Order: sequence, then C-alpha cells, then structure tokens
Amino acid sequence: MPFHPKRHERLAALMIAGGLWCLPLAALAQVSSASDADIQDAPPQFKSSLSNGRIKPDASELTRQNIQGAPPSKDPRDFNGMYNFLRDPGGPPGTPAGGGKPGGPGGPAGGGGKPGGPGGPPGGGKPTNLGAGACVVTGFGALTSYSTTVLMNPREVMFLMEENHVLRWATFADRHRPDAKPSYTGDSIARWDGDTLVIDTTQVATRGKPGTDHYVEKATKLPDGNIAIQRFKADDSGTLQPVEKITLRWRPDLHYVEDICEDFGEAFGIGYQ
Amino acid sequence: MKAALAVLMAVPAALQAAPDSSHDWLNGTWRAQGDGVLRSTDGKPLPLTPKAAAAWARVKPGFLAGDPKVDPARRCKPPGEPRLMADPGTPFSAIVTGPRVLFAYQWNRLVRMVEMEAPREVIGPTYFGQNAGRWEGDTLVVDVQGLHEGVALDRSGLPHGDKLRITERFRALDKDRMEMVAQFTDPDTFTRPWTARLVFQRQPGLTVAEDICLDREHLVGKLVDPDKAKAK
Repeated sequence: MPFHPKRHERLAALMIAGGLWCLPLAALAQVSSASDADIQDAPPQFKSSLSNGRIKPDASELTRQNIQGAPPSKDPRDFNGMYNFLRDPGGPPGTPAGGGKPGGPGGPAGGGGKPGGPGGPPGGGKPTNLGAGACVVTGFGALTSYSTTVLMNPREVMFLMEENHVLRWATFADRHRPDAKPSYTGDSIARWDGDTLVIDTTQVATRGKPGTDHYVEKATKLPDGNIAIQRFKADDSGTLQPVEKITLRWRPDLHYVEDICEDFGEAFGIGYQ
Repeated sequence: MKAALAVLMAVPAALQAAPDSSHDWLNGTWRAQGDGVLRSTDGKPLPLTPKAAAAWARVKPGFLAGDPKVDPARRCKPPGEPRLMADPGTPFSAIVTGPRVLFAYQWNRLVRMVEMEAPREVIGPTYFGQNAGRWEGDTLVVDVQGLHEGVALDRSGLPHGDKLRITERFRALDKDRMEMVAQFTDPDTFTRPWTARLVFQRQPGLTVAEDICLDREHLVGKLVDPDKAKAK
C-alpha cells in the first residue's frame, strides 16, 4: 500500500483519540496499571480518579478551548455543552451511533482494542463493507458517540454526535409529525417532566429489519454537569422496557471537531471511488 | 393578571440560557436561491490568479456535470463551505443558542458549527473550517478559516488555497428572506478580495430530513480497496 502521510496522520489521530478515551475506563478498573505519564495524557477530569487523587487537573486544562467556561451552568434545564458518553456498568449494550456494537465503551470505530459487533470493524483493522466501519448508518443514533455536543433552545434540543456526524434533534412539540417517515434517527419530540427532559422517538428504522421502533429517553442533568439518560424501548405490546442507562460526561475541555467517516475509510487504505 | 403570572411561571427555565431574542430571526429552515454558483457582487469576473484560473478551467466541466471522478462530493465527501449553503437543492436549519450557532445541512447530516467567540487556534484544515461568530446588532458575522483546500467553493469547482479567509455577514431582509454577503480573501487564488451575495428563502413547516449519502449514491457495500483495484 502506498504511504499517504495525511492518511496516516488521521489514522494516528484516530488511534490516539481511541486510546485516550479507553484509558480512563480501563484504568478505573485497575488504577495501578496506569503510569503517571498515562495519567498526564488523560482527559483532565479523569486525572484525579486515575491517580487516586495524587494528580489534579490544571485549571487551565479545564478551561482551554472551553467556550462556556467551567463549571457547567447551574440551570438544570440547560444541557448546552460538550460531552462524551459512558455506558453504566451492567447495562445491556445498545446500538451505537452509526450501527453495530462499539469496540469498547466509547471507543471509536476501529480505534478500540476489542472487536466490533455485527457491522462494526475489527479493532485496528480494516472496516467491513457494512456498518459503522464503512460509514453506513444502520440503526438508532443512540447518543453513544465518543463526543456529543448538545445545543438547546426553547424550541428544540439537538444532539450532534461527532462519530459519523449523526445528528438527532427533538422539537418541543405536543405531537409527532403526521408525515414522519421511517428513518434511522426517527421523529423525536421533547417535553419537560420537572427537570427531566423526556424525548419520545417514533419511526426508528434499522437497516435490514422490517418495521420501526419506538424509544423514550429520560435525561436528567446531575449536579456535576453530567447528564444521566435512561433509554426505554416499546415492546410489541407498546409497553416501555428499559434498554440501558448511559451517562453523558460534561467535557468542557473538548471542542467540536469535524469527523468525516467517509475520509477515515481512506485512512485504512480504502474508500468510495 | 393571574393568567399572565401563570404564563410567566410556565416559561421554561431553558429560556434563561436562551440567546438574545433579537437573533431569533435566524432560527428555522432555509434554502438558497439561485444556481449555486458564486458570482462577484461588482459584476466583474472573479479575480483569479492565472494558476487558479487554469485549475478551475480543468475541473469546471466535471463539477457541473456531476462527475464523481472530479467532484469528491459525488463520492459522499463533504461539499464544504460555502458551496453547501449555496446549494438550492438542499435545505439547512439554523439553530441559535447563546454559545453556538449551528447550521445543520440535510446533505448527509453535515453541520457547520459557529462558536460565538473570537478566533482561536485553528484545528484543521476541515471541510467547514473554523467558524468564529459574533453578533453586530442583528447581523451574524462569521469569520471562517482553516478550510480544506481540496474542497471547491461552489458547485462549479471554484478552487481556493489554505490561506483562504471568508467573512460572512448574515442578516434578515424580511421575515422570510435572509442575505449572506461573503468576502473572500486568498492571496494564492485571488488577486484581490472579492464579495459574493447569497439570498435564502425561509421554508416554513419544512424540517431537515435524514439523508444518507452512501444510500443516495448507491455506494453502500461498494468500498474500494486501492490495492485490490491495482491488482486487477
């Protein structure tokens, strides 16, 4: 394969990003395995827990590139900001943005160590010809990207997931659009139940699966700025069944970066040509 | 009085974080008028350097014909900016929040994030560049830099270099029309700064639909491995 410097730069960036993301999760389970150098390179808000409190994040790290400033807004209904996600331990896996099970919790396609699920690429290898590794959206964009920007105003709430640029938005409306057609992101409406944001999504399609699904997500802002989300899916009788719990971690140090999956394919030496 | 009080109490707390209401006009779904080709507002030919003019002449027929070998967007690569915004074939939504303004394009779910702060370190180049925004009264001013030089400025394949800076000024013409005046400065491509004007029409009741380019272009399952392609 010919050497393409730009491709390899992007691949390296992808692998570094994946490694950084996975590091805190692995290290939380086995703190002693993380070196000081690893901890210094970790996202700032993980440093304290990774080092058992020995290393504190520098305030400038938390505010660098931070448009809103830290700490997060005290308004429990203001979700605006940057986040990445963490699936709560023990919860059943869901369908990540772009389809297929993720390589590891939050690991970007192909960058994680574990193999992907159906449709997902093997870690570090070439993407398969279907699924997230091939940039093909296959299922519900379930807020499980490694980086998510939330934009919210009184009319609507939008979740912009960096991974494969999946975009979900919900309008504060009483009813679904009567002309809504099946789509991978479905038709979402939002309402407040106290300070819990309830997003009701119908017409959710899954590639290769007949019919559509109905999801309900309940999102609550926590005092530390994180957002706890419970996801439910309607069964055949229409009864909502819990699917999973995830946490969107408040990450004021992150900055939205354009992620073009169709380019990452080329980083692996393949592309749509 | 009681009713008024009840209404006030019912106002969502999210309003507290809402942007200035004088910027509300930008919220909504829009579509460009015109043919998606940029023209100078002074009516003169674009002030291209000879090298840039030659490069444009080479690719222009392929771009206008939609040749996927010439136009990366036909292979689902982002068309970039301002080409996508100027495309009358695809609507986009504008979402205004205090810290950010987002342009969400229907075309393959792409977005352009405008962060309402002074320009800072450039992360890029990227297809939509680094967008630093500010409000001057009711006008949104966006300073764009860090644009991927491999991306055309319009659907005719108008080229640019990595030094390109665009200053865009968005304002409401009336309740259903928006104007964007953009000044282009790029010493490697243009002999002087020049200005283009686009007008957008509000699309009442229209929401941006899900668009999967790989499905639209029938590319699903058609990944090409260059090594295997060479071996054939």
